[in-house]
Amino acid sequence: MRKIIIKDDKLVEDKWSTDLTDQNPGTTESEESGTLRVVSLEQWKQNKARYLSQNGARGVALSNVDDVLELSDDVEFLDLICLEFPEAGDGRGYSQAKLLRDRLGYRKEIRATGEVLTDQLFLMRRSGINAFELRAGQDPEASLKRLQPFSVSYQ
Amino acid sequence: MYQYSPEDQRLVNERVAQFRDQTERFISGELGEDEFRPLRLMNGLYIQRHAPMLRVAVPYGLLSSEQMRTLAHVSRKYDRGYGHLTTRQNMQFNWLKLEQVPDVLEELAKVEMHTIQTSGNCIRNTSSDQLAGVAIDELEDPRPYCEIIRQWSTLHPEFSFLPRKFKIAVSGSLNDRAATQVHDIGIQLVKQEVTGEIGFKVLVGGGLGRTPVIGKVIREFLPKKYLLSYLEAILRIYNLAGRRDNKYKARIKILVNSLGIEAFTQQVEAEWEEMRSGSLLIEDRDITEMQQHFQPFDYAQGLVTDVQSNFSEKLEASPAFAIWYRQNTQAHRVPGYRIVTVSVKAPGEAPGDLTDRQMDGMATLADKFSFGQMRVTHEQNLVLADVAEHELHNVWKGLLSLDLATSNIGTLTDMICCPGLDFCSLANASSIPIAKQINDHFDDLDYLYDIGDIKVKMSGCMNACGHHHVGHIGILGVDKKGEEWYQITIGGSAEEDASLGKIIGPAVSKEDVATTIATLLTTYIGLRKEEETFLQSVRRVGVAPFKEAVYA
Repeated sequence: MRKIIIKDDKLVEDKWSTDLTDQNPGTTESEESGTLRVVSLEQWKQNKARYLSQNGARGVALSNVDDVLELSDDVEFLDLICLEFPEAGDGRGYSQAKLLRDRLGYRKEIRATGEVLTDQLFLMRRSGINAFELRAGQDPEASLKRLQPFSVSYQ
Repeated sequence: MYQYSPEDQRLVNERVAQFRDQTERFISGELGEDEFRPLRLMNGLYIQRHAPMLRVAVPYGLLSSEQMRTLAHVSRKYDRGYGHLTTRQNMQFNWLKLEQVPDVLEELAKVEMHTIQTSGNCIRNTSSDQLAGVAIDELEDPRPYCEIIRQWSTLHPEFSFLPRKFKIAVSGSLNDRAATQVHDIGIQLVKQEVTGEIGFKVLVGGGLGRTPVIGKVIREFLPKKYLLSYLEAILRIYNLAGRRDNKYKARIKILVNSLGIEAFTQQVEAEWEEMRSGSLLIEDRDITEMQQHFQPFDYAQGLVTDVQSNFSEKLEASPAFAIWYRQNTQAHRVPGYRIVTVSVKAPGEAPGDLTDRQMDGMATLADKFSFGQMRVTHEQNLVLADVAEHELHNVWKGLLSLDLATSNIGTLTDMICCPGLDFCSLANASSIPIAKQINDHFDDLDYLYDIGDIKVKMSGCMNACGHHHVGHIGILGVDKKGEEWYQITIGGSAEEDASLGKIIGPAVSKEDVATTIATLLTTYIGLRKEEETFLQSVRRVGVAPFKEAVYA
């Protein structure tokens, strides 16, 4: 069964595999399962020409020390950018999301992975992240309910 | 003062509901301690030695009498009848019950108060000059900019999980009473010489704690409209590049020092260049609108001539009143008015502690004599900023009945003091008993007046909540094999001539703190020239003569 994520304020079945350790970097799409795979920024840079020659969706997973501006010329080719939150208190991903949206004009899916906790989703969402792969143990229904605790904001 | 719009109120109400939900989930076991900790910290709630401590934000130190009454009520109903003023101009309560905190927040929200971002690794309460709007040396009132920063930084989605806490101070005067040089960002209102335009000088990377650093200038002149975009550029660079591997190396000062101010400035300016004209641009009308909230009061005119003679009589009739007038009041911008600093440093009391009765009493005095407002100072006192001179005697009598009329402002016993080992779980040594020891030793006010202006600042550990590095005399509590010892520094300052104090020698034992200070003062009296203050003497002669005297 595919995992459930929150995307665009709804619970949906995920069609991506975002685990970088679980893949063949040769392709961004696994033909046998129909599951889409993300690649690391390094893989993307090395094999960009090949990925672009393939049809189908493309996704890149950034670590929280990657410079998102390295994707300046590439965002138009990407369907998914994953931002990793190795710890809930490590806020670099918020700035990465903001830069992807505001500076690079990226409009497709930005997904938070890693330590993605119910009570932080509203801040992630407001930084431009629109999909959430919750950490194990976080209840998707309860998280969805707490996605917008505020009806007003200053920013 | 700033009044909440319906949107401001809604945000604070929704924050109360959010925190109530989080607290209930913690109590029911749905949220573990590790998950709840950052959530409560974002809301000013610490678990301390005895009970949860809740820190209430007092934006740039400004309080209405109604808000003060609510603080009194909260201390009475939910705590043990007192609160503590902090060096960020906030008030904290030490004896709350966790399950009651949401109710406390609800009470605070009714008077436009909250605890948002009074702790945690986020942008903290913006602090400012306690004399804002009335000081005679002021270029422009800093409070409208503080409020603009408060709103921008409140629940800022990008900057809620910074490498470490982040403190901003704004000053609008020549004399820096907001300690802007020892803040993560210090903002000073300045006038550009050629054009006469008023804007901001921006400092970055100052701070106390384990690694005290004086802030460095990152921009000599920033036009007002760019205030928020420039702050955002600094915060973004810090959020992305600040160290997160070691919490003692995580403040922005470490990043600025490791990159060097030139390289750091270049990165900030490059980031700023990309977004300075974007949505964060502040329009003139936004500033004008915000300034409307901080207009001068409707001061009575011509008070001086009406009451002068009568007032002089009162001064002559009561030497105690005359001393208080000299020591605890100062000139106001409007003739006929004075600024009153209310000493929350009575001998025998913990510095900065206010009882519920004192809070209610202050609210009454503010209503009667100071347009219903007061300010908290970062030196842990209160200010009634707008008192007509002919009412000073009444104010003094009112303060006397509240035990808030100690005539010691600016003297040795007007100390900054952290809660220390008695309350704080970080502390290595006690502070409050040392303050008491100093008060007991120096109980002769005439001697204190002879010593003159001196700032003693004391912290119970190297986290430096009591700002000891920038005290003219700094006292730092340290733990040596389970015993409390105290390291003494001299020559620090947090003002426009900011400097870090120098250690005079090995730490002294707990019982020797007051006598050590006595030796420092005797040495000063022996070598001072004419009107020279303690700080000026230390700067002239250096640490050596003081060290010799103490360790002789």
